[in-house]
Amino acid sequence: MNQHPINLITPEMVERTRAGIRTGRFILAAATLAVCMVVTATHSRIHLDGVKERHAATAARAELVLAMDNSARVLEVEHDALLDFMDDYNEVALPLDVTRIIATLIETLPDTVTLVDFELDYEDGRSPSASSSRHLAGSIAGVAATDGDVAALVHGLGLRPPFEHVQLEYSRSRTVLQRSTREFSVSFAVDLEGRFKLVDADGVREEGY
Amino acid sequence: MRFSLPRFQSNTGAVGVSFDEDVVRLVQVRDHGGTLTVTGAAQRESKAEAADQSRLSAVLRDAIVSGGFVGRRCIVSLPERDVFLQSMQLPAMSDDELGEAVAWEASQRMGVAREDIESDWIRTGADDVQSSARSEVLAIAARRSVLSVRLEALMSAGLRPMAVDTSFGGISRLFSRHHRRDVDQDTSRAVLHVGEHASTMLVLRGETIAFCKRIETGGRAFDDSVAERLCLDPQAAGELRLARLQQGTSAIDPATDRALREAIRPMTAELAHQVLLCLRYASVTFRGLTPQRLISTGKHGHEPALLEALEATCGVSVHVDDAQDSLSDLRSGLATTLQREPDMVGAWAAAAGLSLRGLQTSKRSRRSGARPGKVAA
Repeated sequence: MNQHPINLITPEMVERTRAGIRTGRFILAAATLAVCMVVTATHSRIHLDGVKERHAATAARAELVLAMDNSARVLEVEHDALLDFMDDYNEVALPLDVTRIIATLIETLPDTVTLVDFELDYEDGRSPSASSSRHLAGSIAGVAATDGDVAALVHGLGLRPPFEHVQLEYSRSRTVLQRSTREFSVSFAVDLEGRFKLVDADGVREEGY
Repeated sequence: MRFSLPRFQSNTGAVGVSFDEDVVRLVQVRDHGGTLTVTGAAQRESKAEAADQSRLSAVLRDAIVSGGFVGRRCIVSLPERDVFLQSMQLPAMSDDELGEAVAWEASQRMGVAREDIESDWIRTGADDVQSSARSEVLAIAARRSVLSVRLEALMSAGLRPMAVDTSFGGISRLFSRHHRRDVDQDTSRAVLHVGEHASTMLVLRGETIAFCKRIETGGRAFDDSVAERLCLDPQAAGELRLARLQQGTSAIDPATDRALREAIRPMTAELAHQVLLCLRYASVTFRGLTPQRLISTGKHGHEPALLEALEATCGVSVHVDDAQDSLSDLRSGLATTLQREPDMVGAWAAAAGLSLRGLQTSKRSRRSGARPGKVAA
């Protein structure tokens, strides 16, 4: 048999107690809500401060990136301009110094050969005597002591770039100062589109076209 | 509707407030794995303040502040003389009808209007031997005016009364903590609570009250007898007699002790005889319900002369504590909380049982659902 616990409390006191409990719960709920609001506001403020700091840092980095982007764009424009200039230069300018060609030619000449004529023309177009469209067509004429000297000249020129297609045009006898000599003419081509390693006269190496 | 997780249920009871004739005791206990510990305790004299609500409120507020209590809920018991207690044989009826019948019976016997009292009842489980259609009911009632003064004082002091119980209700709860299983329903204990002006005899079966009777002999009668025999002032006689019962005091002169025992022998013998009659009644009514032990408690329950008289008269082993040492736990807890040895630990039994009410009610309601009634929470 279960007995219920005795209770002589008056209904008015029960009601007051319940009202007190309700009030207490309301106050507790209000206090909890207030605490939650304070915590939320504090958290939001802290979060906002953090976001502001991150935004400032990101903005600074973005400005830096924009500045670098502008610089890159300027450099790109300059680069394009340089490339255009280089293209124009490559199309128009002679990549080889004619003086060097003449110097190489002089070096190749045997001692008994004397040049009496030297021609060098720029040709832009396919030619059977040249391997590229852009080339210099040259010809030299002179007198030599023997045919061997002429042959040595032709052979020497054929071995030294940028001379190519070296051809002996003619070789005939000629008397100069009552001595028998050989008058000759040699033609050659100089390629302006190929790459060559030039050896300077004093030994300095340079890269060039 | 309340939702709660057992893991987060508090083990601390409400504040038990026990109003006695001239003193109010407040105690809050904690049931920690079956062991009682005391969370807060306070005791204040309230004889002069009993009728004055504001003065009583001030006394209670002082006790609450110094007591170290947790929470505001409290369970209250009134002085025994303010509680009407009567065993009645009533026809079998529903709980609601029984409540009304008890209220009308109590108002007639108290000579008070029905609307001026608050009443409650418990079925003892004893059926009428002549007519099984009638059953024994224990009627409890109190005047609303008396209730109002103390409850208002408690509210003013900052406490929130959840229920008004009785002293014997608290005592039975304290000594029934370990008898709540189904197999314990056939175990029986008798408890004699010896108060200031009266004593209460209880026979507990399991956790239920099978018998309850007020006996109009209390510690004050012992003191009057001592005062008369030894030609002492009643207050001095009481102090002399109670000094023998307190632990830690130096041994009293054997001649004085013998004189005191002789002086109260008629009272103790009469009280023991009344207890014997109660035990016989319970044994007859409940067909062989014989208590295995008699616990003598209350402020004057540890009187050696009374214990001897009970032992000799009733033929039951008499103890001052239950088998689980509930009062011993309570004594050590009170000593820790009050920073001194409590004068009479049996006097705190009712308040401790009141404090346990909130705990046991919540545990029981978790197990089987709460009974609808006048429980405030």
